[in-house]
Amino acid sequence: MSDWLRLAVVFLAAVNPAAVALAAWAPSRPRARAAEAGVTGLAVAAALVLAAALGANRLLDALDIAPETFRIAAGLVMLTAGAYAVARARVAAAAFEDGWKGGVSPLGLPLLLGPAVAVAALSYGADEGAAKTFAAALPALALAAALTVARPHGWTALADGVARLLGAGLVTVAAGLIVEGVRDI
Amino acid sequence: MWRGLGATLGLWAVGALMLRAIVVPPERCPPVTATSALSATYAAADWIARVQRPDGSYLYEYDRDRGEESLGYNVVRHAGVTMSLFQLAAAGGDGAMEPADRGLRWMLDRQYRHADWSALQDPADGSVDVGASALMLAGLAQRRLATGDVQYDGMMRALSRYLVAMQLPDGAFLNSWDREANAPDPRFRSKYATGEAFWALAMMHAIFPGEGWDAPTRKVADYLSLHRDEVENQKFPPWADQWAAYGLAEMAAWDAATVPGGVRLSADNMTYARRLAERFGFLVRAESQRTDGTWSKLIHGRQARAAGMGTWVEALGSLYRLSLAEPRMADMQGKLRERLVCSAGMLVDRQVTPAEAAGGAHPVVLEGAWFTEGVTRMDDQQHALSGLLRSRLAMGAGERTE
Repeated sequence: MSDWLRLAVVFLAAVNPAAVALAAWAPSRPRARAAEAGVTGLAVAAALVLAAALGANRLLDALDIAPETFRIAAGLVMLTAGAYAVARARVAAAAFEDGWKGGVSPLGLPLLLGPAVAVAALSYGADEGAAKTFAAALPALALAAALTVARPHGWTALADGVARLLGAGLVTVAAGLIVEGVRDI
Repeated sequence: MWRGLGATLGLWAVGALMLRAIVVPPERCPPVTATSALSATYAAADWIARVQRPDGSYLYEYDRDRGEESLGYNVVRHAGVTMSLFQLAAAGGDGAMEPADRGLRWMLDRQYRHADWSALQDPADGSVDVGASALMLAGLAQRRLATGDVQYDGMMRALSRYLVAMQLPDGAFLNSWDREANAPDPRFRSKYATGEAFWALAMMHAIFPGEGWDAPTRKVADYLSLHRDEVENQKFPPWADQWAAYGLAEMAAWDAATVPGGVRLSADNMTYARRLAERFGFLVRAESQRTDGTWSKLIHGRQARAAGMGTWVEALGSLYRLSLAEPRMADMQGKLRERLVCSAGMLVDRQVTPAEAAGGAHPVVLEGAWFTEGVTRMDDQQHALSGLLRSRLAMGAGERTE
């Protein structure tokens, strides 16, 4: 598996598009307003991921934290988010609002850019570089944003299962990241 | 939207603060230079020389709060402290040779001889353990490097023969010679002695190539690399063995012409070296997060004593040398340097300065020492001295102190 693909899978688990979609879906939302929220949310989340990945090294330097040590913290946050997704099949968020405002919050932050995605962007941004990290996060963010708009009928049960599976995947990734943080020099 | 966003950011801020307080407090690496590291090294050596007794033994342990010395003594630590002085002498350190030679005489007077070998015997209980002899041998090797004096070559070979007599077929070393059975005591291995013997024998091959000391050295290198953690039930492998790091660095510096096929270190040895680097790097990162404050002690435990942290600096210094000599380790060079300099900075920062010592009841036993919870032991100074000396290469200094 290439580095980019591995990272893309990590971000797929961290963003958890199925859980985002389940948290955002509402039967009465007009599709145009949902699309406006989706596009805005994607733009906000992508911009913040890019900023986090670009500024990761400077931020960790300023905080006097080695990237290796930050992996442990990132892993703990991702572990918690993954466990939550396994248990609830949702990402934690406030009540949904349509239009661009809903796109900024809660869709952009904290649905698309949840704590797990934020720490992943910082940790992988510091370790793997901003470009690769951003390129790996973008497909998962785009998929999640698209699913909040698409709202396919009768997919709730499937999305529930996928969300829990991705949560389990995130728990595994997080455990690996913690171990890496402990074992690395 | 704004209310929700505010609530989200507020929650995130609380979470970030908790992470900061518990998981990722700042890693503090006090500034250090080759010069300040050397000054701290000399201060430690001066402490050792000041507390040395006329018979060559050293003050073992001192409690500054009670103003009391402890009564015990440890022959392995005596050999280790003496070895560290010879290391300083080998690096060109003025004044280290005289107390080191006094310490050596103490050991020469306490030799146990059997067949064709000689070993350092503990005067307290008569035990003949590998660790003490290995460190005595390491000290003599450093002395030879320092002086070129050949007068103890016979003793070095006799000590080496003792070590080889204590080696098991799998490469490990048994800890003690059973004087009643006239045989190695098969019951005990020591997690320290095997690495100590490894380094000492690796130096023997460097000094006396062609005498066959490389064979037992390779055997123990493979045991350490492949089997030790499992055989000796190390719960969190690899065991953080700075002596193994010394030994690997020494092997990497062997003259290629003196080893079969010119291969100094096997792939397994290199894998082990990398794992050691990772372990010591983590230990330094964790230590750099500790402070003397109550919260830090509660969450992260108390700061490591110099006898512990000094071994990490010794190991990182050795592994840094290895990364300079070995292309298979070159990718770790930057991080090794970073951790090494950080740990050396912490050591220098925690040493008792002349000004701090002047405020104490007995400045003579305070200045240049490292105290943990009010107590210093001679190996605190030994390991810190050796580690700081070895760290200077990463700060742009040469191998010698001039």
